Amino acid sequence: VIVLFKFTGAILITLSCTYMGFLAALRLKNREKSLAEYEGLILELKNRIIYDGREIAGLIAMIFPKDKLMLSGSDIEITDRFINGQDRRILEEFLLKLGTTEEAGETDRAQLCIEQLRIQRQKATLDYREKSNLYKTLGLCLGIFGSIIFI
Amino acid sequence: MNYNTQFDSALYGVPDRIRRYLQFLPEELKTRTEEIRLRAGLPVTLTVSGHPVFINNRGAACDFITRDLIISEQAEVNEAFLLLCKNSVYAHTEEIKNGYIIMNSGHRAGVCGRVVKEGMKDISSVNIRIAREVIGCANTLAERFDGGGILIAGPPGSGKTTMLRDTVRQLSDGIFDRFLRVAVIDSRGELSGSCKGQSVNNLGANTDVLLIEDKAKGAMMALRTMFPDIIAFDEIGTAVELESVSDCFNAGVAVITTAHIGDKSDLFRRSVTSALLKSGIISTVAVLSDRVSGQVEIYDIGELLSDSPF
Repeated sequence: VIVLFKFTGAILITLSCTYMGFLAALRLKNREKSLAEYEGLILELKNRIIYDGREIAGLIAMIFPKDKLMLSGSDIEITDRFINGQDRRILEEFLLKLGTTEEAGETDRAQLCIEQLRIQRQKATLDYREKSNLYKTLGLCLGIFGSIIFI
Repeated sequence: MNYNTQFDSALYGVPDRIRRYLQFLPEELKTRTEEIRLRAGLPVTLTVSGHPVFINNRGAACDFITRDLIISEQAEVNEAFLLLCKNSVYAHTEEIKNGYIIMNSGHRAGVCGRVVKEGMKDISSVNIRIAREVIGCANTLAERFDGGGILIAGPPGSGKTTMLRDTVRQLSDGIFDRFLRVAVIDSRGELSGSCKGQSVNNLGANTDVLLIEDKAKGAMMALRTMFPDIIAFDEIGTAVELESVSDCFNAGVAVITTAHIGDKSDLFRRSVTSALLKSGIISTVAVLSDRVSGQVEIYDIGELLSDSPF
């Protein structure tokens, strides 16, 4: 019974640590995906500012899904869970002055934001390539190490 | 139309701190308020029945300048500008280039600042002009419509636009058994209170609104495309507009318009109104007196021409 208990425990520890490693790697993948989505959405916002002429509140509600940006009163809230602090700062800076200038100013600022997000996405891609295997392996190793200690 | 609701709806363009003072003003004062003016570094001013009224930091209105008046800061004037644009300056560029912003509720805000190629920067003052829709104010005038043109003349703020709006509504709605197609040439969105294609003010069921800065061009466009019985626009003032009115008349379309004058004698002193009256296009003239007395005198053109010293 004790052996069976130890065996089951070791397997559970290994699996959970490996799963955590996978989750950490997935988070990197999701950040990259989120940034790509933001780029696309801001590009659409930029184009709609030029061709649609609707006010910001209407455009935000129409373009952005609720898990990306949300209007709360007169503020715009970033609701994405995967982007990091630096990505968030870039978006916040863009959103803070959104709608305060004429069309050319808005489109220039949107383009700047897209460029910055593209750089962040490239960094996220590199991060993913470098760290995803590391996190997965680290998770597995920690699991094995934990299992050995447990046994 | 509830005037106080109109006043309160105009407050969305006022920054929070100032709005808190204004929303608790006496209802009677709100009713008579025509404008809310915010100027950078200067006291918040309301125009009440044509006279400036200031608000002190206890929320009371006063007619003279004291030390405890609420001052609108530069940042607040900028904030008001952004609120009026609904944080979408790019969507109002054309209006801003012409010095105003049309508000959703039909009001109009004039803005002053540094004019640049793209619009306006460094906003220094904002004047929110509260739209007044007085249903029935043009009963007598609309009743006298005989198919000829109508000129509504009066000093600034006397209610010319309000009267024009109600005349259009009545003729368009067929109040006197005449359902007439009316094309309104609205150069600043003031007549229709139009915002994104939706008219806030009631201009009648048979009315088409053309929002265009150039009234003469707008009149020609409406004449050719909308086949109206009446073309109405605010503030005739140039020879080109006079020419377009003449073209409308020649096409069998009646024109209803307004003109700025000081008093009745100005009708023949000012070149455009004088030429308009002598042209035979206008058959009825309504002369409004200042906003305090609120009197309207209606004349047939023959009566006016025979009285004219010119």
